[in-house]
This record gives sequence, C-alpha cells and structure tokens, in this order.
Amino acid sequence: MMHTLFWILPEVWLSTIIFLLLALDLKWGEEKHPLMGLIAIAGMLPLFPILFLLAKEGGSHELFSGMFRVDTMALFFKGIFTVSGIVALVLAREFGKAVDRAHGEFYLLFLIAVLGMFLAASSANFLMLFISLELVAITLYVLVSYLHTNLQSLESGLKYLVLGSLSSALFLYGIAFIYGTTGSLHFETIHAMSLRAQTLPAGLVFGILLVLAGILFKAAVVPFQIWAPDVYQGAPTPVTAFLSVGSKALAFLVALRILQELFLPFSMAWNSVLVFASGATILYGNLCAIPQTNIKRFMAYSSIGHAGYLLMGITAGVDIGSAAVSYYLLGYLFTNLVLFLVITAVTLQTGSDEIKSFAGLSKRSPFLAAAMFIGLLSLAGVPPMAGFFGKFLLVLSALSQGYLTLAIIGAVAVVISLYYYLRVVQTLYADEPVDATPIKIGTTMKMSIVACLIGIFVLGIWQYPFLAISIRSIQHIF
Amino acid sequence: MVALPWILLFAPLLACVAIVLGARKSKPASTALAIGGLVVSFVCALQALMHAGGEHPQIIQSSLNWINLPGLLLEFGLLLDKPAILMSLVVTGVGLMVFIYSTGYMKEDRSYTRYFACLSLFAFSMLGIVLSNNFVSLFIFWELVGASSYLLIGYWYEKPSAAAAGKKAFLVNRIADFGFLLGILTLWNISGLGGHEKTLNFVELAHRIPEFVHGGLISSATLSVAAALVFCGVLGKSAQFPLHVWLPDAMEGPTPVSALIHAATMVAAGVYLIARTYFLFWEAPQALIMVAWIGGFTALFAASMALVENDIKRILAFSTLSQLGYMVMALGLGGYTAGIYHLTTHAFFKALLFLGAGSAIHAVHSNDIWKMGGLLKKMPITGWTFLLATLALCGIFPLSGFWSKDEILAVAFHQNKILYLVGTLTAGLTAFYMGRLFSIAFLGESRVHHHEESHGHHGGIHESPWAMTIPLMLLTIPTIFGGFMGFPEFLHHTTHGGIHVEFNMTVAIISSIVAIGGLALAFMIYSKGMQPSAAAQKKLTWLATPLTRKYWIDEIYRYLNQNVQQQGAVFLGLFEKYVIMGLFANGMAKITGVTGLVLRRIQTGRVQSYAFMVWIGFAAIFLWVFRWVQ
Repeated sequence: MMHTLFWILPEVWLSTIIFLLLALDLKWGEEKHPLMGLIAIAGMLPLFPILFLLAKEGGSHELFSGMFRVDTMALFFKGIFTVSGIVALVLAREFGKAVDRAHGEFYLLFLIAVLGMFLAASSANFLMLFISLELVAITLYVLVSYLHTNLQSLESGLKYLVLGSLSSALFLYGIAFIYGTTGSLHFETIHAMSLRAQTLPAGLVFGILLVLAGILFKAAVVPFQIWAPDVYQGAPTPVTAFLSVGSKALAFLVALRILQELFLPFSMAWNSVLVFASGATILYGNLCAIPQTNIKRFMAYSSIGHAGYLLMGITAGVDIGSAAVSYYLLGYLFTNLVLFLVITAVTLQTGSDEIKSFAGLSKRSPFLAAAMFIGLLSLAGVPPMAGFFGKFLLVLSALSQGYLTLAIIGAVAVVISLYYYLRVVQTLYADEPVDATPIKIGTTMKMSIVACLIGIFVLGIWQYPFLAISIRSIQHIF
Repeated sequence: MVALPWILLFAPLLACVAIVLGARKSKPASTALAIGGLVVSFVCALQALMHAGGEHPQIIQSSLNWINLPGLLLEFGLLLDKPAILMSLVVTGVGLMVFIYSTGYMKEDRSYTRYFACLSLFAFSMLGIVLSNNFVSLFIFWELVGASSYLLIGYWYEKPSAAAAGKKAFLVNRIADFGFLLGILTLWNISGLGGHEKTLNFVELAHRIPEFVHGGLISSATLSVAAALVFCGVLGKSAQFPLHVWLPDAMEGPTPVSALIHAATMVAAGVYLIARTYFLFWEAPQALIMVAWIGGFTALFAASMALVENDIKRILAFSTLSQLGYMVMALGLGGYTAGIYHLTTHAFFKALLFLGAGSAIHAVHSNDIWKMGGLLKKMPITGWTFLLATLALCGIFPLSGFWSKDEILAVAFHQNKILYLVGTLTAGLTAFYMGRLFSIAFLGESRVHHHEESHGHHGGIHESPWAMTIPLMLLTIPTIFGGFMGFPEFLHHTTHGGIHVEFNMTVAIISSIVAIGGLALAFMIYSKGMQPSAAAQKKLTWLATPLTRKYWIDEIYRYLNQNVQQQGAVFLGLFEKYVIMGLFANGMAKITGVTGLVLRRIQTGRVQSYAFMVWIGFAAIFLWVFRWVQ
C-alpha cells in the first residue's frame, strides 16, 4: 500500500521540473535554450514509469478532501498529455532555432499547460476543474500569440483569447446553475444525486448545456468550431500541434467525465444535441478541408472532422463507445504528431506553410514523405494504420446504439477524407519540387517520428493490448 | 518450447526485412541473410520433430489475442502438431535446396537481392499457412502467398509474358479465394451453434464439428456447402480443374522459383488445407466425394496434356497438376495418410526434377526438349539425378514415389474402383510422358544449336556449378529413401477421420507393370531422338490437337470474358461515368464549391462576428433542447 500522497507524484515531479527550468532560465539567459529544451524533454520522460506504476496499482483514490482523484482514466489521459507535451517540446526546440525570442519561457509554458491538463484529469470538483482548465487556457493564449512581432500570431492569439474567455464564461455560468440546483460542486455528490433524481429540473438542464457548450468549444465542434482554423493557422506550429492533440484530448476527457460519469442519467438532455453536433462536425470538417491550400488550416479542418468522430463515441456512450474514444485518441495522438513533426521540418526549411511547398517532398526527403504518407493514410482510416481500427470501433458503437444515420455519415466522410488526404499525397509524390535541395532533420526529430510511426502501426495491427488499456481506462467512470 | 514456432515462422521474414533495409546493395550479405534465415527455420523444425516422437507427442500451440470485443475474439496463433512439423520440414528443407541452387542459377541476374528478399518473404508466408492455428491467420498468409508468388512469377517483369503470367496466377487465385472467404464466414457462423462462443480455431473446431453432427445440430448437407466453399480455395492454390489454368503459365518465373512454388510450397498449400480441415471434410461426405472426383479428373486430364508438350518446364507443370490431383483424390477417398505421404515424397522428387530441368536450361539456354538431347553424357550429375527423380515419379520400386503412389492406389482400390482405374491409367500416362521427356532431352544425340555450343560460357555444354549440383545430389536422398523414413507411421491418428488400407500386393504389381510399360513404350518411340514421322503425326492430329490446345480451356475462358464479363464491364463503365463520376464525384465538387462560398461568408476573420456566432450556436442548442424536452 502506497502513501496517498504518492498519487500526486506526477504533478509534483512536473512542478519540480518547471521550477528548475524557471531558475535556469533566469540564470542562463538566452544562449543555452537548446539545452533547456533537452532538460524539459528529459524531465518529462520519467513521467512514463511513474504513471505506469500508478496504473499498475489501479483503483480510484481521492486526495485533498475529494478535490483531487486519481483513477485509471486520469492516468491514461495523463499519458496522452505527456506524449503530446514531449513532442511539442521537440518541435519547440526545433522551432526555437529559427526564431529570436527568449525561449526558456516557451518550454516553460508548455510544461505549465501539461501540468494544468494533469490537474484537470484528476479534478473531482467543478471548481478545481475550472481552475485547471483556466491554467491550461491562459497558458495557451500566451503560446498562441508567442511570436509577438508576427501579426498573424498576434491576431490569432487575440481571437483565441476573446472567444476562449467567452467559452470559459459559459462554462462558469453553467457551473453556477449546476451548483444552484444540486447544491454541490463535488462530482461524487452530484453523481449520487443524479442517480436518485426522479425529475429533470430545468435549471440543471440549462447548466448542463452551458457546460457542454464550454466543452464543445474546446473540442472545436460545430457550432463552436469557428475559431479553430484561424487560430491553428496563426499559431506557431508547435503550439498548433499541441492544440490539435493535447487540448483536444483534454476536451474529450472532460466530456467523458462530465457527460458519461456525472450526467449519464440525464442523457436525454444532451444526447440529441451531441448526435446532431457529431454529424454536423464530421461533415463540416471534411467538406471544408477539401479546398484548403494552407497545410495548417488544412490540419485544422481535418482535426474538426476527427472531433466529430470522437463525439460519436461519446453519444454512443456505454462501454464500447467510451473505450473507442480512448482508443481513437491514442491513434490520433501518434498520427497527428507525426504529421506535425513533418510539417515543422518542412516549413522551417522552406519558410512557407502552403501545401504547394510540399511538392515533390519524396525527392527532397524520402523519409519525411513516407512518414507523412503513412500519417495521412492513418488519418483517413486505412488499415493497417491506427486510424482504421479507431474509426471502425466508433462506427460500430454508433451502430450498436442505433444511430444509423450518424454511422452512415461517418462512413461516407471517410471517402471524402480519402479524397483530400490523397491529394496531399499526390503533391508529395507526383508533383515536381520547386526547389530540390534535400531536407535535413535532427536526431531528436527523427527519433520522435520513428517512435510515432511505430505507435501508428502497433495500434493498427495488434489491437488487443491497447483495446484492453482503453477498456480499463473507462472502468471507473460508471 | 513455446517460442519455437514463432522463431520458425519469423526467421525468414526478418531475413527479408534485413535484406530490404540493409543489404540491397550486397549480393553476399543478402545471400547469407536469406539462407541463414531459412536454416534457422529448418533447425527449429528439426527441433520440433525431436519432441514429436514417442508415446505422448507434444503439440505446441501458442497464440496471442488480437482483437477482443464482446462477441468477437480473434487470435493470432500458431499450432505445431505432426502434420505441421512434417510440412514445415518439407518447406524449409526443399526451400533450403532451392535457395542454395539459386545462388548459382541467378548469379548473373541484375536484381539478385530483390530475388532473395522475395524468396524469403515467400518462405515466411508459406510457413504461416503451415503453422496457423485458425482460419483468419491462415487466410492472411494464404493471401500473402498469393502476393509473394505474384512477385516471383512476374520476377522478370520487363518480359510481357512473365508479367501477364504473374497477373493470371494472382487473378485466378483471387476468384478461388473469394469462395474460400465465404466458406470461412459460413464456418464462423456454424461454430456458434448450440450457444458456443464463435471461433475459427482449428483445434476447437475439430472438437465441435463432429459433436454438432452427432448431436443433430447441423445436417451434413449444410456442412458440405461450407466444405465445398473451403475447397474453392484449394482449387485455386492447388490448381485443380477448372482453375488449373494459371499453373502452366506460371513457368515464366525463374526455374528455382518454379521448383519452390510448384513442387513443395504454394500448390501444396491447397492439399495441406484439406488435411488441416479434414475434420470438416470427413463430416461432409457429399463434399468429400466431390473432392475425390475433381482430384481424379484433374490427375488424368493434366497427364494427358503433358503427353504432347515440348517445353520441359511445362511438362513438369502438367505433371505437378496431375500429381496434385492424385493427392486431392486420395484425401477425397478418405486416404488422409496416403495424401499427405504423397505430398511429402512428391515435394522432394518434383523439386529435384525442376532443379534438374533448370540445370539443363541453364546449359542449353532453351526450354524446348527438342533442342536438348544427349545431356546425360555431357551433364552426368544433372542427368542421373534427373533419371532417379523420373523413376520415383513413375513409381518404380523401391524409390519413394512407389510407396506413396501405391498407398493412394490401394485406397482407391478399396473405396472406388472407377477412380482406381483413373489412377492407374494416369500412372501409365505419367510413365509415358516422363519417359518421353527423358529420352528426348537426355538420351540420343545432342540437337543443341551450334550457335549455342560455341557461345556457351566456356564453349560447349557442360555441367552446372557446384552451387547447383549439390542441392540436386542432396535431394536424391529423400527421393530414394523416402519410402523408408516412416512418414505414414508418423502421421497415424493425427486427425479426426480418414481410413487406413494395408499394403496391397495386387495393386503394387499392376501399377509397377503399368509404369514400366509406359516407360518402355516411350523409350521405344523416342530414344532415337527423332520426332514421329509426318504421316504418323497427321494420323494422330485428331487426338493431339485437343491436347496441344489444352482442351481449349483458355479459349473458353477468353470467350466468356469477352462476351459476358466484358458486357458487364461496359455497363459498369457507363455507371461509373454517369453515376459515380457525374453524380457523386463532380456533384461533390459542386457541393464543395457551394459550401466553400457559403463558409467563406461565415469565416470572416472578424472576432466580433465569431463571438456572435458562438452565441447563436448556444441559443440554437438551448432552443432545440427545451422545445424537445417539453
């Protein structure tokens, strides 16, 4: 039996690294920023064994009078956040070489965002959850507008700030309504009440819908998707990568927690909204991705489409749907990270993030082109890549709940997505490069790409262990 | 011990990956990797053999869970029981000979390393079929064999006929595999009868199916449908009538490939599949009798076409078809042991024949037996080993072929007199065409063009290099002694069903007389090394034409293709043009254009309007829910 405080060890460790980097940043100044990047990455690595040990111990543990709870789902998502944090740092390190600005804080902000995500994953109280989410959001506002001399970055930072605050306000307002009707902010208490409830008070429905709007905003789901393309395009690429993976995973973690865990008995209040939002988001993301010419904007629309698929799993709820969300997120994590690794490598060399500048990549760097090819196919859901099985599970879960139309939309959108993903592949392989200089990449980048590719294939070919992990990750939420 | 089948299976794959990733530029390294990988597999198979003897033979089964959902449990597993051990010994043993032989035969080839990578991939896929413990993984490897054989048959892809042959083999097998897949799905549903959890595991099915039949849960007619569908797969891979057409064309591949694919591995996979799923066939008597008749018919049919063929490899190809028909017939008649026994011995002597033919082709640069002649004197090792293999194939006492063929005939004699006659007649034809081949190519005077003689590598026809002759000599060992190695005893009681028939002296004597008679007749006609006179040829045209045109089967298929399939294709073409392209693809583009226009209005880039839209969105949700709740 471990001491209860051990359960907060990941957060403690992460905070230590943050303070260490803060001190080093003050002491070293700007010259040694690549070293600081390495320290930040190395500092994240021990989180894996820690999380693994805690997950092996299992069970659900409450700390700080029920404010903080560690269960398998929290640990699973902390793993996802760690991976996306590490890759974002690898990207940031690469990116930092091309930008002149004090970089120590760039790494630091990523770490703080990850810490916020960790805390949100373990929140067992609405107040705690709100504060953690704000910690993440405020860090991200700074990160998005990090290139303060770049108008695009500033503009997208501003948009993100204004719209993000709006969504936070909705979320907070919703919490107030929930507190007003239930008299508690505690997940445990609210859950118990919702199980006993005979009727559905209108105030609670209002509260749930407001909270839901806040979550859907973070997940970039129709009708709250409008900010995503502008922000994704304007933000520095490592931040875009982090937004598209870490932030998205966070939104779905909160969705699972609040909708599936707390308010499942009230599913009639939110489920029809989600079914509609899921179908609309899938169609919106996939249709709008077709005419895009900028790779980051393209990825924004693609990630909107994927958010729609993930939402499908949340509506389908029970067992297989929620496990499918976890599985899909794992595959999406590796796939999107591979793509952003390649995109960063190419855009740093060419100085342009237009899709045109990827023309003939296969001749400039066969490795990067192959990695991007695999990533795109996985996003499109082609076996034996990770994306296929995740989509399969989600569509299966929608069918098992009788959402036939939604399942058909999901299947049709796969065909549409093949069209625009393969068009990029065509650019990579068939088009002639404008400039044929080979693209060189560093060792950390190469290692990260290989690791993510392995992840894509292993998840796509040998599903059993990851399926077991996904199923375990949701076992405490019902 | 559990790791044994995994090493056995994955060693050639690792070799293939290593060649592709690391040794593409180096001939010696790729040779060492490919041969090394197969040696590891061979040693593993021997190791398994050591543990398989005795009173309590050890069966190794090891599986990983692959997909586990409610109601759907798929595993990826390996099963190393006696038939699997025997088969993997044959595959790795013959494979090893072919690999070594290839180092000599393919020495001058430009893409030597690609060749060895493909061979290793092929060996891996074939071992996968042999070792799989369930239908799903077996089917995956089944398809992998199809794909890797495509790579090997079409290896000289610059040559249009080779590319076409590769395609033909692949397509014919696809048709067959479609039936096989339906069979697997049928069995999947059958396995769930009586409230069991559905499974495709062989060991599990072997328990269940007899139970179901005896418990009256399923009629033998239903089971026969499933068995017949599974048999479709066999028709393709083992090239049984009417899907035999790919095999003769597949001789376009390099000769060692023909030896590997058409003697010991790919075509044997079909026969092995029947043996693997014998529990199913045994409980489906209607299917079993169909299997027997198709096998018997193919045996005779293919042997007759071999009579008039002049291409040495094609003669051997037809002979393979015919011998496979023999094995299928044996299994169909209940002779489980006899079928597998013949599969084993045949693998060795047919590999020897192909490799010997390759050695001869290597020397004279032609496949035409009329351009050979007198090779026995000039290439003694090739010649004498070829003769031994020929005699084994004809079933001459005491070579291996005699024992296995005799066991099949004894089963047929016991079960079905008509098929016994078919078998004996085929044996006679076999002896005749092999005698013809040997007399023309190896006896008499040399008819090699002088042009070839003078332009040979060192002037004149000479024996092949050691890398090629050593495998020939090694293969003579099982060819001669295969009858005394205890294969049938090894296989006893390894499956559900099957009958055992004692050695029958009458059958043995009759078949020996027929074989010797066939050989003698061929020798008398052809030993002069001359084509039969024009008058004699003319007199026999009515008989020879159907044979040389292969009964017009290819023509019939072509006709059907052009007049039935082509019409359908034209219709589908129109469908594609107007419905798919016109309505969906271009329609999609129009929709996209319109959405783009609309969305461009929405995506103004102004944060005020974005914030407004967030509010509109929330208001819409709010109204939707509250209207709906009330």
